[in-house]
Amino acid sequence: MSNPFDDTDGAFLVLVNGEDQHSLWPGFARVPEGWTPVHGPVSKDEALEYVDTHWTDLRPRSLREASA
Amino acid sequence: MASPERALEDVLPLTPLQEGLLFHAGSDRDDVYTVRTTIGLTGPLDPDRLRAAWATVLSRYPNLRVGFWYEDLDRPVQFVAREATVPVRPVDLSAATPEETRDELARIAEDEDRTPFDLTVAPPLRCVLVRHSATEHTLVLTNHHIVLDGWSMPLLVRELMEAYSADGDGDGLPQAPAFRDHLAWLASRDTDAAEDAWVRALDGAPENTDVLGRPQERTAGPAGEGARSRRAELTLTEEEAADLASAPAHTGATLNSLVQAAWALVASRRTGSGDVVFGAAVSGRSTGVRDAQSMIGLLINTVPVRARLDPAESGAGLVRRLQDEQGALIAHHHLGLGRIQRATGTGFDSLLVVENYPLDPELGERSFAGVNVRDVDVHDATHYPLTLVALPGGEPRFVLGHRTDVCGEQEARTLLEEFRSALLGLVRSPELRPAELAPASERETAALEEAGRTFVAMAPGLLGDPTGAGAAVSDGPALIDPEAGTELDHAQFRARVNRLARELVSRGVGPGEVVAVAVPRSADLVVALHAVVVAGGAYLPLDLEYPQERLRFVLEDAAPRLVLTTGEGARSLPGGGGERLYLDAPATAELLERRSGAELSQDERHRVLHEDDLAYVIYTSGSTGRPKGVGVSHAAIVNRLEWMQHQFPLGEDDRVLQKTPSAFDVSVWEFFWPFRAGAALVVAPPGAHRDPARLARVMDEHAVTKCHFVPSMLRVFLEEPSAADCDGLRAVFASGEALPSAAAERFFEALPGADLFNLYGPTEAAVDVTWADAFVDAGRGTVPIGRPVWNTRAYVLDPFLRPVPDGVAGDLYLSGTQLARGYRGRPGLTAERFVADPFAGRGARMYRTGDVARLRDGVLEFVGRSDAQVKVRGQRIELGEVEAALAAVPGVTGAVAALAGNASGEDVLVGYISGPAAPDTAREHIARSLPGAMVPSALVAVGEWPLSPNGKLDRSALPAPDFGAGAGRGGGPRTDLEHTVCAAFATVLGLEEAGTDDDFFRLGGDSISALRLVTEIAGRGLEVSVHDVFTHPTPAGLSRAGRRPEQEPAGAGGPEPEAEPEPLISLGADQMALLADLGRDPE
Repeated sequence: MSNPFDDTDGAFLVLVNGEDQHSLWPGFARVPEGWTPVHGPVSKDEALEYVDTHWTDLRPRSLREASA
Repeated sequence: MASPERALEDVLPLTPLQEGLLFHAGSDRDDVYTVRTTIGLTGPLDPDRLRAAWATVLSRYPNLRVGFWYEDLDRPVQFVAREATVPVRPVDLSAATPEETRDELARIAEDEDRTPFDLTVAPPLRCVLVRHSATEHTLVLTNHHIVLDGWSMPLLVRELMEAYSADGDGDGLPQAPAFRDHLAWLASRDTDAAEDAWVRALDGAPENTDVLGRPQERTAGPAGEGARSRRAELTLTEEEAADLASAPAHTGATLNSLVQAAWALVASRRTGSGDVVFGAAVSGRSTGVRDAQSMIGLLINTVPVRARLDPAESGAGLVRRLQDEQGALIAHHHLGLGRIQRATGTGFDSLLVVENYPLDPELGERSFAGVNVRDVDVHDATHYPLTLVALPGGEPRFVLGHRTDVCGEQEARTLLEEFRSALLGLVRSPELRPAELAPASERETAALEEAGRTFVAMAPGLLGDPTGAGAAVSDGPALIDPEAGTELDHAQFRARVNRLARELVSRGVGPGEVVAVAVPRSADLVVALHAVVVAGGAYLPLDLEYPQERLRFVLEDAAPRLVLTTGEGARSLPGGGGERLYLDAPATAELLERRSGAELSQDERHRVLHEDDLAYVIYTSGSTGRPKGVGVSHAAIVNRLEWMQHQFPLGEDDRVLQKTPSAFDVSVWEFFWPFRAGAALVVAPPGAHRDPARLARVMDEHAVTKCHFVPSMLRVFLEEPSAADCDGLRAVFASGEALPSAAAERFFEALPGADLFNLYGPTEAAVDVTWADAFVDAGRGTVPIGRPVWNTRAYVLDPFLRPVPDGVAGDLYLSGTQLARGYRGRPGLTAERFVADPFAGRGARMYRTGDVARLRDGVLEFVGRSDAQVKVRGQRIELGEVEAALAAVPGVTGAVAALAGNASGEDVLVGYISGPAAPDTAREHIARSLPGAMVPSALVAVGEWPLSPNGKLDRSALPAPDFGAGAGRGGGPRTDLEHTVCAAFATVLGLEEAGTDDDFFRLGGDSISALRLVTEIAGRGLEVSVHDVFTHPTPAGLSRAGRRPEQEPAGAGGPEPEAEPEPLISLGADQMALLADLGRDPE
């Protein structure tokens, strides 16, 4: 059984939710409610690189704001 | 008695499908391959003339005058009897009422279906002629499928009626096509090339595709008694039919490809796999054979269709690709399914038949000597659990034959509906992708909603709170450390925690900061962990037994604000890692005494501690080898603890044992749960978690009521005689590994007063997310992991992110409050593992566990790690499935499957078992339930399981199997041939010597070394094929199967049949005489 997130040849989107959390998302699947595509479709490596560059604080946005 | 020469006209080989049908006729209780054709005839029918017409037909078609024989032969044969008669039994219903007629016809049909043919008697055909009146008859023709395929039926009816017209005079009829030509063509095919093509086409395909989700042994084996076949039918509406009819024109796809693609979509959704295999009937009528299209006989063959579905590919793309892939295999359609399956090991439970033979529209309009054929209805069945027959035409129909022992009528209708929806989707919206063309059904969607009903409102809580929701502060003991002689009550414990917390705050510890704790198991450790979270920091436990290298990495990666340790703890720490605070230093004691022991307020922290702040960071091993820090929030772990207290309430009298190393997340509930509930924590001495006798003593002496065990350690503990003394024990929580049912049984024997709960969860989801009561559900081999805890959803999804049907294995995903924040400092990895939840909405995330699970009636079963899927002899194997099968063997208390290198350096499957069961017995047992490739080449009995510091099994420390240990079965060689083969075995397998009954594969052989064996044996002057090695894996068997190249095949002596054509098969005189005897006309 192959997991779609492990597909190194697949096309991926980068999604972001209201807490600024990022998710890789296979290009073939419908974007889940509450998430917005911000990058892609690109290769898995490119999607990961985008996440590594843009998601610099893993804290959910609400915590970041509450503790600011 | 006729002389042999007179009785026998010819002896012929069988087509591959004929061989298959002969096998089923000999092995199934009810031979399903009895075909009944009901022919309505209007007009003044003359029964004698009909009998004469049959005689004409049989005289023209030798292949209908056949009987079959296989005893004492290497390959079965069909012999052509010179004389044979189709019996015509008259039944007169001219005086019957319509009801009586209907009942009588049904009874005749039933009788005919249930009366098997003796295939050694020619011909396997018989008739019942029912007379309704002088001008109305029903001819019920029953034949064994072995002589006629569906394509031939209309041809045969026409042939019969033409002969009837000619009044038994066949001379005026055109020459009948010769089935023998087809057999000769088959014999001229290059079967090795065809086998290669099939091996390539099926490389890496799943071992079994069971659309019904049933184990293969029930589907491919002989049909059981009472396995009736029923039919469910689907008729398309006019509009649907029109859309289907126009599809081939504008897509270039054949109906056959559309039907295959639609069934592939259904099979994929049903099996949860993107790679499926099913059978297809192919016409077998080659353009290379004269008049093949009008031949009457059994020409069809069954071949596998393998469909790989790409989640991103459109339906149109799928159909086109499938058509191309299948087109490339047409030249190899002649190879027998048995041979394809032996070479590739692929099984399936469904068969597709597209009845694309030419219709004969004039048959109904013609008058045959005053008799008209009113209608023809063929009733047949296959041994496959599912047979989907497509009947194209103006009103296309689809008939799903289903074996009632494995598929009920409702299920068959549901399958047909799924097929209809996929087929019309392909035709009407070819741009859609597989997940849209075959979406999850209502059943799975409902199960998802059910899975979402775990919501429980939670008051915000922090891990460092003195008590859990609604609990009062207790007067009883809180912390007992027998080793140090410490016993604290709850007030004393909190005071110590708060003093240290204030010291930590003063050193800059607060929300968002990490504090490493490197303290051997002790009361000090417990106080330290609590103090860090009370101060608002996240604790990072360091296991002092871990290698320095790993500790150094963790300290660098987490960059803690402070390291809490002791003099002893520090000795195991690498240098660096920032500021240290020695808890056992006299100076520290002085510092702490000056701090207040009162509860710390939010105002004292550097900032307000939020429930989304991290409570702890635990490093887990990454598959890439680099440990990753999992950060878990207060909200997540508090949810877990509140659920646990609700489900298994702890009281003031309860005592929980702390024995789990702090770096293993199971310890989190040990460390925090008892205090929140007013119970006490008993700290086991360092190292005691690996010493069952010592553990039993501590538990007995300190009246421990609840504790945790990793299953491997639980098994060891239960083998300790003094474990039974722990009669104060009320509940044991098992997690960290699959819990074998045998271990649960042993538990209830040893500790009849205690409960055993199986918990499951990754570090990434706050310790545990599902639970099961092992007494209520001990499972089959392995205790299920059960149902989700509060505010948690568990999804089992296929590669298309669809929920899989009940009972089907898929990837396990978790969603809800308990998810970790992510991997510290690893945004990419976090975004790859904690992904968008497609079901919960509102931007929720789900964690992809990497575990394979299945749901059965809402209960989750752990199947294995998805990365524990290995390939052996080209077959994908789930190690967990092999382990579960081994664990289900009586007398096996523990089982592990792993790969190990054999003599030729290839990976082979090895099983390890503990308990009284002997390896040989265990092997025989599992060989009954597992496909061959899943039966380990070697089974090793293990006395004591090697354990890691966490008490989990240490796979790398399992002993290497000695493949040669079982060698020498059957004794030494007795003949020259056996001597040759035994020597080759020994050389290839690296053995001293081999016995005649040694099984090549059990001694570590595999497909690669099988090739070497063939070469080795050839070098010694004997010819065997790789196939021979698989079918006769012992020296004794191979010696029999082998051929000396110089040896001529047995000559065809004895009375030659007078037939002029080249014999297609060679037999000895005795065999000829035997067959000749059989060829006599039974009448």
